[in-house]
Amino acid sequence: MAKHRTSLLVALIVALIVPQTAHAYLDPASGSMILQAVIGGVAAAALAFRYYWHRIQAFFGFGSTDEPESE
Amino acid sequence: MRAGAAGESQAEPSSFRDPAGQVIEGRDGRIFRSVAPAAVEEYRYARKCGLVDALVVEGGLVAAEEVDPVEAGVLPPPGGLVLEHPRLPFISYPYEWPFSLLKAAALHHLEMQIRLLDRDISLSDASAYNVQFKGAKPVFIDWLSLRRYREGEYWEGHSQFCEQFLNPLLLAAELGVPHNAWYRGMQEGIPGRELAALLPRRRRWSARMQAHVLLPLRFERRAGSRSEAAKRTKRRALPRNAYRGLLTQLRRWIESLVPRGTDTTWSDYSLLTSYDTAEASRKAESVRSFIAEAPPEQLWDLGCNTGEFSAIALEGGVRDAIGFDADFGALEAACARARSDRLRFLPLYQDLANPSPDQGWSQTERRSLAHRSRGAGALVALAVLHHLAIGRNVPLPRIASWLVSLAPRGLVEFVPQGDPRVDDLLTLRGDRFADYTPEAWEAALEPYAAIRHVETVSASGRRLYTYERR
Repeated sequence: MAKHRTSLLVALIVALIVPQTAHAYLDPASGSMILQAVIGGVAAAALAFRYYWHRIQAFFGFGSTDEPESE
Repeated sequence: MRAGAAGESQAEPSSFRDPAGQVIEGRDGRIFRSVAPAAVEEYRYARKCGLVDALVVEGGLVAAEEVDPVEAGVLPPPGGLVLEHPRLPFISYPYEWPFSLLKAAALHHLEMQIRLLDRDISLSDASAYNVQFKGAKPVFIDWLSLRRYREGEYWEGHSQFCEQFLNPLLLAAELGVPHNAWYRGMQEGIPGRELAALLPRRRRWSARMQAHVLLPLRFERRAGSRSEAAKRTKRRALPRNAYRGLLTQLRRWIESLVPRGTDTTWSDYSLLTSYDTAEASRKAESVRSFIAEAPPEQLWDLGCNTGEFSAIALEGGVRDAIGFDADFGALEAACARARSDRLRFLPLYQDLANPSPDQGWSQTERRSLAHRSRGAGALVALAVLHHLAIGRNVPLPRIASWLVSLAPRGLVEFVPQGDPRVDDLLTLRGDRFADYTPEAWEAALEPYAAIRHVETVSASGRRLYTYERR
């Protein structure tokens, strides 16, 4: 599932490095923003875990069976 | 942005916060929206999305057509453009919505956001005032809230959504307190901090209560200032599936909410009507013939109860019926009727002795009930008079002048002393209402309206009056 993995990687990169700035006329309230930063952080960590877990699985050869033969 | 050379166009006084554009009421009551140059690209982007057109067809998003500014009489700034929207029958506010309408508006907002997010569009805010109703069906009206979704962006409307939709619903669902009076006072909804102060301990320990109400408060307290909060959120993105997750979690939660402690009352509603069936059918017949004489486009049903007579009026050719009542149980039953029979009937909370005032910025932002009565072609007020005259001590001449000021024609019921309902109101008060008689009511009405028809509909002497404004 190379395609799947690439999209995971892209999402991970986006989650970690894209700087976020508010662009609304609305004051978004700091508590809600921090909450979303935390959710974003957790989501990014989960993605990272999944990505590396796939790689570890692949390395030891016990990865998911839907892994394509060619990469 | 100014209204055009026509001179008669008027900027809608509630539409000034968003620099992206402004709503303008043109000549002949046409509704325009001028789009600022900076917002044109976002508008074009949204317009290109097929889903937006589908939403318009479904009726969930108000229609919008680009029009020639000169023809419209609205001049946008250079580089901007002008849209025309169909005029909505009635503008209502979240503090007038019964629980189930606020819930429907909240779910509509979330549903739209979820579908739009999948097509790379997000909403710039989550104001409850951007939702209006056609009958009991919510329609989103603010086109300029739609904008291109940027990968990783936060849901900036989250806190506003919680204050304007979630918290008021929780107030009723968790504590059994209707949101309306509080919302009317605050206008921007119910702050998380105030809701949190009321929540009993056992209600605090759910993941979603923590996520949407309590944790943001704690984070805010800890951050201390906005700049500190900005530091903490810097360089963190919210993945799209997490954004979507917030929306779907809220949708699931709100779908499950019911107002606490009212469910038993609603089911009994059909049993609570005081008149026998013969009287009810005579009343229904009177409503029918009142409407048939000259069907108004919009009918106001004061004291609408469960909407029985509004439904009859709609059958008789009225296009929109707007109902008002102060009984939350009756309003819920009315909403259920409007939804199940797909009626263009909008039941709203209103204490007729203390109706919605002009309020908000410069006291023109949210309009009073009286101000919005221009569209009312006629009104019916059945079993209402005694609540005002006896229940609230309003003298009959004042009631007459107020009713006649709302609509040019009316069908009003007078419930006399001796009727069980009136006697019940008087039980603990003693008879201090010597001037509460049909003759006094006729004399009160006379200076303002010509009485066209009087009919006695019950053995207790209830009378129905049809009148026309002088």
